Amino acid sequence: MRQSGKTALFIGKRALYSELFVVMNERATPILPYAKRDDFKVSRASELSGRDRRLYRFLEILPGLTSWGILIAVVLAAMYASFFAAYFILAFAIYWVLKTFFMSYHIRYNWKRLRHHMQVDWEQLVQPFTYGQYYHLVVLPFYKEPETVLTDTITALSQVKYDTKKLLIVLAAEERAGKEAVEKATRLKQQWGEEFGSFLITVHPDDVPGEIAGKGSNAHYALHQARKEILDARQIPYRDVLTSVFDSDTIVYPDYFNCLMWHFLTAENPYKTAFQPVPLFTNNLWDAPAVSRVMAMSSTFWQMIMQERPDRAATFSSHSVSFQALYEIGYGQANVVSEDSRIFWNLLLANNGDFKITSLSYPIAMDATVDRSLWSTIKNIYRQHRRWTYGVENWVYLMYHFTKNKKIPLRQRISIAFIQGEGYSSLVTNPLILFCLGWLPIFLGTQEFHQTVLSYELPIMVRNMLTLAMLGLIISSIISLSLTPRRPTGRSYFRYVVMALQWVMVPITMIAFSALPGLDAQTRLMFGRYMGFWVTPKRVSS
Amino acid sequence: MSPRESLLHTMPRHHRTIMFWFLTVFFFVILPIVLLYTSGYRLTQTENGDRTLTTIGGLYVAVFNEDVELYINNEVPSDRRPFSSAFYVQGFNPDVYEVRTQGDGVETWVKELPIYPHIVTQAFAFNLPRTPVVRLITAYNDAEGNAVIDTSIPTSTTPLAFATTSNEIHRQPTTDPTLLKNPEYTTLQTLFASTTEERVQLQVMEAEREERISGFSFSSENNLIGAPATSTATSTVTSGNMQLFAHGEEVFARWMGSTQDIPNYFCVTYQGAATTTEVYGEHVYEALIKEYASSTGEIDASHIGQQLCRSEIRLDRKRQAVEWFDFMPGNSDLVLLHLEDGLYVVEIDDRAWQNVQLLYPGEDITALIDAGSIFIEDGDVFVEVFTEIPQ
Repeated sequence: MRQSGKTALFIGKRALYSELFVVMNERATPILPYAKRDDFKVSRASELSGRDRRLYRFLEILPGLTSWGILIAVVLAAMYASFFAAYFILAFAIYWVLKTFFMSYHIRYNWKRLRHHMQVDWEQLVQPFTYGQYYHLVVLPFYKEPETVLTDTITALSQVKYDTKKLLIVLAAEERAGKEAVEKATRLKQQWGEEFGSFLITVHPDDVPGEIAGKGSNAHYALHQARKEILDARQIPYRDVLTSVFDSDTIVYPDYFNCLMWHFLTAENPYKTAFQPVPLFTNNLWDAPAVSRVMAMSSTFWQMIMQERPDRAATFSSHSVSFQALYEIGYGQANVVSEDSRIFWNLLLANNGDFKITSLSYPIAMDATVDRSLWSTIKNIYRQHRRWTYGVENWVYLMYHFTKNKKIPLRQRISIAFIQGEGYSSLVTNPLILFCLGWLPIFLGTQEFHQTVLSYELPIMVRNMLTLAMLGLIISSIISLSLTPRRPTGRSYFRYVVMALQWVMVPITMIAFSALPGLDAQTRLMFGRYMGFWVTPKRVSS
Repeated sequence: MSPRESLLHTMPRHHRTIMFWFLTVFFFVILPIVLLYTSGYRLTQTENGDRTLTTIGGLYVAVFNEDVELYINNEVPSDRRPFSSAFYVQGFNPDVYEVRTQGDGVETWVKELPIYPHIVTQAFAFNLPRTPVVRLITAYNDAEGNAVIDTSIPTSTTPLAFATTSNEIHRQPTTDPTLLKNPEYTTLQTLFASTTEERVQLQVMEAEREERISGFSFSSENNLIGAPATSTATSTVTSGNMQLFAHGEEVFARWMGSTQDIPNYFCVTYQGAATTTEVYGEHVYEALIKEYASSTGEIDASHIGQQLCRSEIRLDRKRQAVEWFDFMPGNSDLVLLHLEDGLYVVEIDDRAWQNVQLLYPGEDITALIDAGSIFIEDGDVFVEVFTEIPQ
């Protein structure tokens, strides 16, 4: 009895200490005031009421209305103000060429940095710092991905040039994926559990009210569970934990955590910073059709540009941030589609504008979209990009909260609103204006216009400028080849030639997989047909 | 900081800012240059070395025959942009230019056209084969499907005397039992028979109409111009918004559609009586007088510089009687005119003059169009006439 009494007392004390730890952690890391608002995690107008609801609904309509308005205005101008339309298209073509040059400059700069960072010995670079107390919480939400995908991901984690005992793995399964998912996770835990500091399996319940089923809500749940079952249980201060929410197919490069650690330790304010790597969709590049490769590399190029403009960027896909920062805002939202970007805006708003991105310029690898047939691959690419471009819902969220959070400097609010708004609008309208509507004055213009030198020279001049802009594709081709994994045995060298020439598809892919899905997403939001999360199929099971 | 150390950080903000402002300034510098150039402005050097901004015009010539070369004032323009069936050249100082298309074995098409600042003068050139190209359709074919002419028919009396054929012709007695009757010949016989009957009726109706008209004391040519000739339906042919109609001995082309879509050759830039006559021809000026003259009988000076459009154009019939007319298949800018000595193609565009080219000679021929092909009955033979030299 006395023994059991001592044990009970011990357990009780331990529980008390844990409880105390939690309380202390919570006091040291309270939820930020702005994050306590009822509307902090709003995802759609219907969650609000009264004037706020009307405002939010109006903002939801605005992006689609603007995009459609611009496109229709160009058509009407071609019909009724042909001369003005012609001048506008010429100006637009010049703008496009210069913008392409500007973006190309950023890509080349980041390419240089990327290659440099892949050669840097980050382990040595981080040595002068004291970082032994830090942990890396790696959250891997998954649904029905093949086990091979998860195995590759965890294998890569086990092979990093970092103390794997400092890696706390959370394999986040979905209840709606069935018991097979849990069994999968269990097998992986049995195989890899001892390799890491911790290996937790979470099962996100199905049909939780107010949530959108998907990676965001799964990760949200997993973070809750990880806090309780790992951090609080082991009394790890939240400040000492960096959280990386990775896609299930993310292959980390060996020095990722050293690189992350260095950037964390050298950041001006590491707890007000998100860390963004460069996503390379190259895991299965040799198996992907050309259209998938072009889209994958185009997405990488865009992220490379953003790496050099972190003040204009938001987090994308796999990224890292301190657990403390996440806890201060309640981990982010479980009710949005674009959860990867939304988390950054949550952090920015809750910190009254004092949150930024640091680009790691270091790669992580993921899968390019591939399915069993070319047509289904094309459909999947379209859906994936529609989901990504549904990130326009973040602009709505931002604009709404910019009217509420006056502590963010006005200049910063205006700048972000304009940059993000212009980005979503130009994504949709620019390719269509350039490659389709630019020819409209010739077809729809007045008789008076058709007789002018302007009408004859317009297509020639626009074509010449587009050709000039397309020269940038040569650079894209070179860079993409340098980022392509080594040719697997059995693959012809001719594939390199195909990979170099595939960039001629860019005008088509820009319209089919950027402009049209973007317009689709904005139109859905405009009409209140809110999207759910669509899981991109990862690697077709053979 | 060493270059390698600098690579550990993002591109410096000032770097981006400088690049951004440089490109912005470049945009505003290059924009007016591009707009002016595209609109037809050019920077030229005068004789004393000064640079001056001049305006230019362009020329667009659509061609019927793709194997021709374009000449402007006897020179091939160095910077012409050949499309599959047209030429586009720009950079002309405002003036009148001789435009010519010619090629091996085809007729030459020539026109004098004015080019105005900022405007592209449009024209449609056609170049028919100098030697008619035909396909002989005989009553009989041999077992291989080749056309057969009876040995009794001398070559000099067949189209083979002056035309080239696109099909193989065999000479042998048509009584040969191995020969097969050509169904196409039979079809053409029927077609031509019904066509002859219709045309006889038309001629009778036209003669009766002329008789009625001449019976009215106040009838005049002028009163009849513009009067809808469609009242006699069979003497008119319509293709889209273009209509051909006969009035007396003349054949006219009339635009029936909106002025927005009127073909450019119906309209001219009026520059006063003398200049308009010199540039476009007296016949054009007279047609403008009919439509725009004031009570003084002259066109008001306020029209100078304006585009004046005629509603109808008379076709050049080479002072011969017109037996039949129709549009060229698939082209409402060209007209087939069956004159006394053959079948001609004449362009409606009468700026400077109308190009008239012989398609098939013959004094006793009948022509018709069927399913987009031109067929001619020449004595006892039928031929299909082609407008291009086969490759």
